[in-house]
Amino acid sequence: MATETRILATLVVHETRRLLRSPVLVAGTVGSAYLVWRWATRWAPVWPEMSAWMAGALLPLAAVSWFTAAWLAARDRRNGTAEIVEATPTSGRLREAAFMLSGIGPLVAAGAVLLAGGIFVAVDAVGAPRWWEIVGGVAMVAFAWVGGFALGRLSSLLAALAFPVLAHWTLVASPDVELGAAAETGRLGLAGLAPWVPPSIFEPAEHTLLRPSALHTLFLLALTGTVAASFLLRHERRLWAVAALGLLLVPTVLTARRLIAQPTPFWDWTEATATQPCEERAGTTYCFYPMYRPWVDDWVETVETIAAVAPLDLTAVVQQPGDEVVAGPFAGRDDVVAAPIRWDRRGRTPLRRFAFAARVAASVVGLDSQPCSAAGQGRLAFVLWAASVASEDQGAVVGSQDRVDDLLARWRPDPATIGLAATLTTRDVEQVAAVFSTHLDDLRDPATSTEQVAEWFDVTIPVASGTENVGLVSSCR
Amino acid sequence: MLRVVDITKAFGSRIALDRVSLTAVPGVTALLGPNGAGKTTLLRCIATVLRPDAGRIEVAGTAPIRAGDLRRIRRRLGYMPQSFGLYPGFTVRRFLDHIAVLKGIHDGRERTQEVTRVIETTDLADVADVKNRRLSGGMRRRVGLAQALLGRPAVVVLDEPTVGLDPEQRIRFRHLLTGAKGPETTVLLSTHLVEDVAAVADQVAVLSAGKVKFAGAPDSLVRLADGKVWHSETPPTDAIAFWQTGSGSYRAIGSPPPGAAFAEPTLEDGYLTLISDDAGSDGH
Repeated sequence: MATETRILATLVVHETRRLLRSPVLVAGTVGSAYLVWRWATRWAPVWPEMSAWMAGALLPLAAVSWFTAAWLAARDRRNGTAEIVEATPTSGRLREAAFMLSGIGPLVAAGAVLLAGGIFVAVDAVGAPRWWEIVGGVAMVAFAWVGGFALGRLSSLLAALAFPVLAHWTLVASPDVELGAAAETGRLGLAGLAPWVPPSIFEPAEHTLLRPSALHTLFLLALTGTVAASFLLRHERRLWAVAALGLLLVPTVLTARRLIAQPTPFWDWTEATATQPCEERAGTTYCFYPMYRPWVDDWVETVETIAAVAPLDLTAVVQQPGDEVVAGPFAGRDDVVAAPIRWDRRGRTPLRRFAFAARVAASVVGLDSQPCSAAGQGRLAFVLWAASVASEDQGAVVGSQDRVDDLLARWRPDPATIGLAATLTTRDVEQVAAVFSTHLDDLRDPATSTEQVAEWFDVTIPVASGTENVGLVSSCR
Repeated sequence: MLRVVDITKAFGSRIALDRVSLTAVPGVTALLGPNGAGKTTLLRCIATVLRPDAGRIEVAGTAPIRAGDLRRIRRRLGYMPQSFGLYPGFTVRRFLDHIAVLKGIHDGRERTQEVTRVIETTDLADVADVKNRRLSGGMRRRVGLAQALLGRPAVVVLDEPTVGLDPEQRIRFRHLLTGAKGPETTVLLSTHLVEDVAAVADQVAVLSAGKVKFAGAPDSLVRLADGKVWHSETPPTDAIAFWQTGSGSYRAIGSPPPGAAFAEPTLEDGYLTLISDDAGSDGH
């Protein structure tokens, strides 16, 4: 037994080492790491609550694990070495155990991706990945390894043939895994591979990961058909194999194709917005989709910074998948600010925080939340200055015409107003806030121009407000 | 030492081995026979990759009776199948290392030494770090021999080891084989090339239609053709086999006509005499 254990250990070490050097597995690992990076940088810090994403990022690794396991399981049969190895003292059971255990290779790779991804996400984002996305990702790779190995044992040819189908189906039908589909179009983020997109984003992942979907059921049927056909072919039951394929695989694929062609039923934003939980903090109500609860602290910090420099008429902050509150119990109210569903990674330019702070500041001076031109209006200078202070942008945003244009295009900020705000950010915050407080009524008046506000601070603005922007006529009321 | 006692193996209604008994002692024992005689089936049974329907096989004093016997036998056995493949992406050294692990050599240093030994023994040092997919046919056969020699097995079973090799490669392979085996090693090789037997075998067994027709020294097989080989200027009418030689005369095997010019028999003559003569089924 001791000898067998040592042989097993040696075989596992050898196979694992080979696996970790395998270009296919390396490619899968890199692909998964790329998805982690891409999704984290694109969506973070939504990620911590988008639990299935971390598991979804491991799909490339799971797919190559499936392929590698099938390839490995069929190695002796494929290469004609079966008789040589069968004549050795190491039993087939021990060899297979070693192959199975060498799945530690893909799992190590998965662990590395998850660890790196977890650190990457956790350092900059709101929180750390949840336990179930770690477990889910590892379980998916382990499942792929075992499944691929089982299929490879049955038939090397079919294992290879089935790989693209299974990989596709793993992507398409893995239940409730978000792959970044574009909600606007109903099309897919990953080249049309993942059209199902159930409402997993907005429900706890532990509830959705195990919930069967129609596509997932079909996936299991297709998998069953493929494995059954492989088994039957191996035992030279060709007619039965064809029957198994015909009865299970073909209708499954055809049905799936039809399903894929249909628009994806996306989450009902209106209903979800209407049923948001809310929290009261210092007189302001913060409403959020459940997974965004950790973000409330960031919103509170931003709101309180604005409130510290100007009296605040804000009573509700509602998270919304856009910039405007168009649904739910707060829709249509003037005292509502739309909170973002995305936030800036820490250490980066606070673009989203700036935009949010600007919306809060705009509510202080009564600037419309709807698109309108505030070009030349003095209150826009306050909005820009307050947003810069609250977001601690160090002038990186307010000092850039392009960035301000991008973020606050709805109010069409003009260069003079932006220049004034940038100048004010160089001054003492308390002094500037005091001046604004004394002119609060004037500040809320749409007729108060940027030039007038500049006079409060004895600032000479280099460009006449509104003159640089053709057609920028003030329209905000 | 290898002892085969009353081995029977059937595939459906076809009997491949019919109560075959054979003993091979240290040295080279060649298994001769026509295609379909059952040579490969017998060797696969000996190599434990095929289970006989009846009978007993004893390898180096061990028969697969108790649990663990099979493993013990396999530890003392080296096997080179007639047709085999190699992992194409592995180098020769890595492949042999892998097989060495499977043969139970789990100590890394010992394994390295053993792999190096068989590489040198089989003259593969120049290609040790070349991937298997780049090897020629002759080199692949040498890798097959090398893996069979791993662990210094007491019994080495080689199924048609020289098939597909050109004459020069065959001679080289024979040389390697005689050089590689130890003094206590029993080598059982099957072949249908009589020259191989003449060149390397200490003992020879002839298998035909699943039965052992002859077992003994090569000289004894030759002697079976004593007085049955002759030269003739015209095509013989009652010979078992005959062929025209380069000089234009005929060399014939069988019952010679009166006054025939007898020729010195060879191993091939003895073999042909044996397998074409049903009466000689008991050997000597």
